Amino acid sequence: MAEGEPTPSQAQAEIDAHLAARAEKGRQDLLDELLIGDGVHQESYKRAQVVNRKDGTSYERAVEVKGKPLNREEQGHRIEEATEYYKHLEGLAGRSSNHDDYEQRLLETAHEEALAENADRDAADADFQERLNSDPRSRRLQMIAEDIANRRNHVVSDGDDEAELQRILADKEQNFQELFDRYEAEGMDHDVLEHILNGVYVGNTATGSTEQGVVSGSSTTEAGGETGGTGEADETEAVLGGIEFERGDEVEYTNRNGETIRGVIVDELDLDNEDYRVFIVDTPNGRKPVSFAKLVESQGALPVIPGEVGSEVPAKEGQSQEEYEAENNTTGAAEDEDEVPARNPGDIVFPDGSGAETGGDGPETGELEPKSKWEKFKDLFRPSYWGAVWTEKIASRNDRRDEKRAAMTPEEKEKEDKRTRVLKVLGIVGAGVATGVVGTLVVRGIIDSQTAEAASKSLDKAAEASALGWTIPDTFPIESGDGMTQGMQNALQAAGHDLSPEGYSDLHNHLTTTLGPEYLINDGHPSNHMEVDPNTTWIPGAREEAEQWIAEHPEALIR
Amino acid sequence: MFDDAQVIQDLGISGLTPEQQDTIINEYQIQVGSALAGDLSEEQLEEFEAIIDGNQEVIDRWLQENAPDYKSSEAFQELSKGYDEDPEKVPADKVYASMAWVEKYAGPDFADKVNAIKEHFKADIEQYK
Repeated sequence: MAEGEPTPSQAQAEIDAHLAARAEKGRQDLLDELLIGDGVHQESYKRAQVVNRKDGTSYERAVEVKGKPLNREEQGHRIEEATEYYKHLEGLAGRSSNHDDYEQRLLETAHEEALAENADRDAADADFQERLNSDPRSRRLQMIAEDIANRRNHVVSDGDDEAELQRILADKEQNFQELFDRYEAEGMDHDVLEHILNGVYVGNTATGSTEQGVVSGSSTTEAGGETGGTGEADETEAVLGGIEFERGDEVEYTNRNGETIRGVIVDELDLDNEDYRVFIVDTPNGRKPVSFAKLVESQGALPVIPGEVGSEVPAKEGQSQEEYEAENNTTGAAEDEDEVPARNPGDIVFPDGSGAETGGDGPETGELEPKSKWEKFKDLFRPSYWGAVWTEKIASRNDRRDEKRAAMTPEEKEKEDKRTRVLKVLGIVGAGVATGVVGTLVVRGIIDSQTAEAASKSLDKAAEASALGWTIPDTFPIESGDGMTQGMQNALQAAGHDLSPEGYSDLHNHLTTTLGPEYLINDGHPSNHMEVDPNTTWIPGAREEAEQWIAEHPEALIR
Repeated sequence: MFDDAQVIQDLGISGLTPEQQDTIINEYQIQVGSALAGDLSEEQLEEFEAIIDGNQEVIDRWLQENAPDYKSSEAFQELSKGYDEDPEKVPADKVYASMAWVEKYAGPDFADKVNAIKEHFKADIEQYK
């Protein structure tokens, strides 16, 4: 009802009120639809989240998150649009005597809005697909992600070597992670990366799949009509640079069911994509389209992308493996296929030059098998050798711990050190007890002397962490009449040791000079006037200082 | 058991340098300890720390409450041997208490946890081979 108009009759007022209520409901419904369509209430999806453990390690888990909404500004803008529109409709309703026309118009408008929304969404999806498939790095990651997802979904059968399957899966996950991190650092489209990562952790095997279905590779499924509904073609990128296939080549590959299929290449699909090649392979089960990448992978090697982790020098397009090796002086690794490469860790020379003479036990995997040229090639260009890599991994983790420690107060460091020591000893003892040999036997009173001796040595080892070789207790009692030196004597005696009277005096003087007179925490606060307190302790650093002093003055020890 | 040689063999790191072995073993032990500590309260960890620190009061009290007849056990008697030759040897009651304490508080499935950590380490190391 327009402003300034005369008040309508009671009947008209009721009709207007009814229409206004309907308009309001319609506005709310459309707002909800807009919001739902914009993702605020969208069904959630899962993505990887890094979770840090207390001990500094981390792992990744799938977490549920809301669908990607429009940004707040766009949402607000669209809500304003809807609100304005319905104000307009309300105005129309107030002037219209035909509420049926109004409702019809309302429905038509809502429908048009919905259609427009769908069109916008389709356009956004198409745009995303273009971004997803136009970047060779994206296609590369999708290929690996799909392979990982397939392997995870693979149902292990009796004939499978489960350990080998797990090893291959771990290898591929590592490769994926390294490439992912590198591409992210290079500034690759973040939305694309997130979408691919979801495919790894949610298990969606579709590469570039959306609500509209698989996009990349659709030409393959259309052209490869013999394959039936699903086909066996990898909807992934084929990477050039090293291996060539042509008609008449005998090949074998692993299909989605994990079966090894042998056949002969009889044709190649004419695709309008020089980076994506699909061959028609004549197999016992008929002619199947198989991607270049799948054939290469099944040869025991990964296609090499120039600049990929593991290839220090980019391969030139069309360059054969022999040419690559000759150009990059890698012939030492691949000249003779009969030559068994060094897989014994003792034969591997670490980056610091050590290792070649260490010898030692070989790998526990049994007899070495001759490697393919590609395996040798990969070994040469792995970023590092496994022993150094592993310790580097731990070292980097320790570096992160050190960074955290640098930001700690002395009290926090003290607490952290204590905790680490406790965890280590807990681990030493726990690992042993877990074997069921010591723990249960201890309780049952049955233990062999060798185990007992080893148990003693383990706790000695933990104590060696202190400069002294044994540790002064962190807390000790102060009884009535005890002073600071008596308190320290209580502590040392609890550990089975003792100083001479002069030793305690000298130690007290040393601690006072170094840390000040109040180096003990008594009755809840640093003090040099002792009160009765069964849990007197040291100020941060005092215990270590005392241990260091005693280690440097063994003459003060009387036991 | 507590012998590093056994851990080296279990983890398959015998081909590494001693420094690398020490690094990995140290990390492994901390991981095992962390896994076991996850189910323990701060008070329990403090109690364990007191035991390994040689707090005699705590050791005596814990043994009295949980293993009052420990001195008559063959395990303790075996642990007690050798002090004539090595007076500095870690006290047997401290060793006994620490092991019995772990067995009591680490839960019925801690052997599985330790084995899982060991297998994880082995698999993790394996992927770099």
